[in-house]
Amino acid sequence: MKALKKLELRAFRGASKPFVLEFDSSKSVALLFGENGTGKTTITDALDAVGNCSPGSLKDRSSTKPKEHLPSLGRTPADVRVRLEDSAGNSWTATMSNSRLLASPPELPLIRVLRRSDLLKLVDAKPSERYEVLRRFVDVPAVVRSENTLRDAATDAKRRFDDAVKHRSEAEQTLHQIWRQNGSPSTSWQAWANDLTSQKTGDLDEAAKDLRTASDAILKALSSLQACRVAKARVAEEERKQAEHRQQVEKTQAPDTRMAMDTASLLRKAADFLKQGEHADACPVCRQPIPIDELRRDLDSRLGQLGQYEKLATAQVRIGNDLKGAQGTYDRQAEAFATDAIAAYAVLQQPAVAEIDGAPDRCADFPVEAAGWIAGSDPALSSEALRALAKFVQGAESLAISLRKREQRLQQQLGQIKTVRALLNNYAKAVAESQGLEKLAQRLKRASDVVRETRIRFTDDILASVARETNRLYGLIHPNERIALSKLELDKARRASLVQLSHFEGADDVPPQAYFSESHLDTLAFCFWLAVAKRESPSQDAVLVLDDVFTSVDSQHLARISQLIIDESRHFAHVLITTHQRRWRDVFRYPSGAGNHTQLIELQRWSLAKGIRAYQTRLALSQLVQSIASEPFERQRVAQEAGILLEAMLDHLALTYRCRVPRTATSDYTLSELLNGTSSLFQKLAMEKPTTPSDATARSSNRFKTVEPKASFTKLKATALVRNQVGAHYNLTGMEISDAEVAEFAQLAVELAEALSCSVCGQIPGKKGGSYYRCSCAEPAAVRMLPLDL
Amino acid sequence: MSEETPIDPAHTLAEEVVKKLIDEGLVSSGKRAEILGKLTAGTAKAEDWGLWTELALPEEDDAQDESQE
Repeated sequence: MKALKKLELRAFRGASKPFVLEFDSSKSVALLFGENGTGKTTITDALDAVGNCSPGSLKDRSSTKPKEHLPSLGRTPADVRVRLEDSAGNSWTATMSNSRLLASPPELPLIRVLRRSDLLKLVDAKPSERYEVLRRFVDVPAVVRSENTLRDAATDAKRRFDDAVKHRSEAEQTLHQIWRQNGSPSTSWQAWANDLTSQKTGDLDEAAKDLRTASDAILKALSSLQACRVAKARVAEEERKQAEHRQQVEKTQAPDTRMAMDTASLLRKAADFLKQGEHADACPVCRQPIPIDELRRDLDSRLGQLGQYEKLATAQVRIGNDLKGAQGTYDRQAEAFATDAIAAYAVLQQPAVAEIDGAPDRCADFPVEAAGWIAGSDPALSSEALRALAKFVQGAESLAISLRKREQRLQQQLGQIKTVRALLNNYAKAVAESQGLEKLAQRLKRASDVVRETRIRFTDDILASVARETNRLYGLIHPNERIALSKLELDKARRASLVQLSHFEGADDVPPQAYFSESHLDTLAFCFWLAVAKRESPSQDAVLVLDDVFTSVDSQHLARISQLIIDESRHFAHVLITTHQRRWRDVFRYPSGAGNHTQLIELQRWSLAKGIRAYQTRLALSQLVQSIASEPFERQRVAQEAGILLEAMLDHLALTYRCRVPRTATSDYTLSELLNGTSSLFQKLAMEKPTTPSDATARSSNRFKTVEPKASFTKLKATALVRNQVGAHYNLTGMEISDAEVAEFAQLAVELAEALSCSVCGQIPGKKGGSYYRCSCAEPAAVRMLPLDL
Repeated sequence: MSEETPIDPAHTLAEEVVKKLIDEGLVSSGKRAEILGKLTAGTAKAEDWGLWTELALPEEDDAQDESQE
């Protein structure tokens, strides 16, 4: 926000009647003076309400409720309204909804309020409470959260890197072991493994397959041969049975056994025929009439007689069938064997098989007759050919074993290649992974360190900066005193805790609460608060409100604090000081302070009927100038105002230059005493002023004029009796003094004030420079007063 | 103290942090806005950091190549 322009209160706290406070936006400081109970805190609370939605002083007061006590007596929350306007035309309004303060627009003006109670809290604050003041500057939980996840990422990358290194090492060890088992060929395990895995395994696979096929074919042929032999044996067995049966038939006692056997067979067929179905009473062969039952009985009788021959006939048929079956089986087995043997011969011609020792010899045994023979289409092979095939197959049996061994060796070789290839791949992958992860882990670790270090430095810098600024401000209030803030840092052992220690008369890092006076603690806390407030106002957009903060400072420190506030006010949009101490008002009203930068406002006595009432107070000099020019001419008033202005200026000079004045118990000197005490000073006093006020290049281009107030002082000293005779007492001599003489005296006082003070800031120089005093204006445009010492 | 409007210093710190990380080539400069946003909001996850760091690797390699040329 910009400088304050207008504050309007309605039904808020002491503003029982609508109240408007106009600010002079051209002046950086507003001093609001009022005796107790005139409405100062109401005005402070109103600014707190509109800037912070805070109930202000009610917040910490017992037995108070914002809902009941923020509205003026007899008014309701709905009546409450606070409106603030700045010099840029921005405005904000605070209203109440039940017990809550609401402000709009939502982007509130930056208003920082320091109350006496806050200052006392800050003095005695625990480290954690002090941290709260700075929390908004140093607390970065979001960044800390992100920092933690970064640390996790770095830890995880390191773990994955370690795993990759472990895998790489394991693969390397295994490969090295296999290499050694293979007799450590080549220059290294890696060269060997690379050579090994560069081989084309397709050829090996093909060769192994051929070997397997060949050995299987031989085994199959052997199996077929065996089956063929079994079939052959069965044929022989059936032939033997047939020969035995034939001998048995020949031994049987009968005229014609063969005939009897045939007859028995025929009769059996006829008997079986007649047993099935219905038959007429006649012979089915000759058709002669015969009862069918009789025919059956006759057949059974005859078959009983031919039983022996019937058995022989049945056995003959069975043996004949068995022999025929055995012969058929043998023929098929022989054909299958021949086929398998020829197939075995064919696979023995494959290159991988032909390389096997003995394979060519075996192939030489293969019968020529069988070459190209095809089962089913070609005539059956001769017995000689089959025997030759059998010899070939039997001879190949040992070859099958060699083939199988050779194939197993090839399979082992293939297995090793595959194993080594897999291990080598794992190794290469682990190497690549470990290299990538090593870089990543290192970078994440470094990033984690960068974030952590930057955060710590960020916080330390802020604290160091606040501590430096606190000490700088403190030094301006307490120059040449061996006390300062020595340490302002986060307590490493505790969370959100701010340690504050100080220097005190050579002792380092002692708690200021233990050694500092109350006044020193007050100013330390104030300087700390002001340093923090400055950090918040980098764009000079904060308004400071100092609500009756200082009560225990003496005149000298009050002058320095007021000077400090004037000097620091350029960092803020506006500074409002409220006070019940008239001394504060007079510092600025008379030229000992930079009155031209200060708007003086006084509050009148409050009443419920009239509410808060404020009026502007003129600076003593401008008041006197106006009084001189007023008509009718009020001689007594003019003499009085001129006298008081003179006394204020001379008292300031006497104090600055340690002029000799009669010692009194209360340091209240008469004008005469002050004039006498400062006479010797005015013999030497000179003012250096820019020819043009506020000319920043005046000194470098020598556009300065030297003003010696000696002449004005001398004339004033001669006419000073006007002050008492006209302005202070009833006496006859005073009646003889003309208005013109009174006006001349007052005009001389004005001349002296103008000669001594800066026309820009209104202050008689009071800040020590090299060999002079200077006013509040920034160098090099400041007015200088010489000499520094008498 | 009176109730005061909080201001978040995280953004200021985050800007400083991101600048340093990019200057050291530890994170990808192309992800500046995303990193700044997540750092300020406290939502950066471990995998985000992994990605930002990995993306910076080619940038660093390019820079090294250029300096060698």
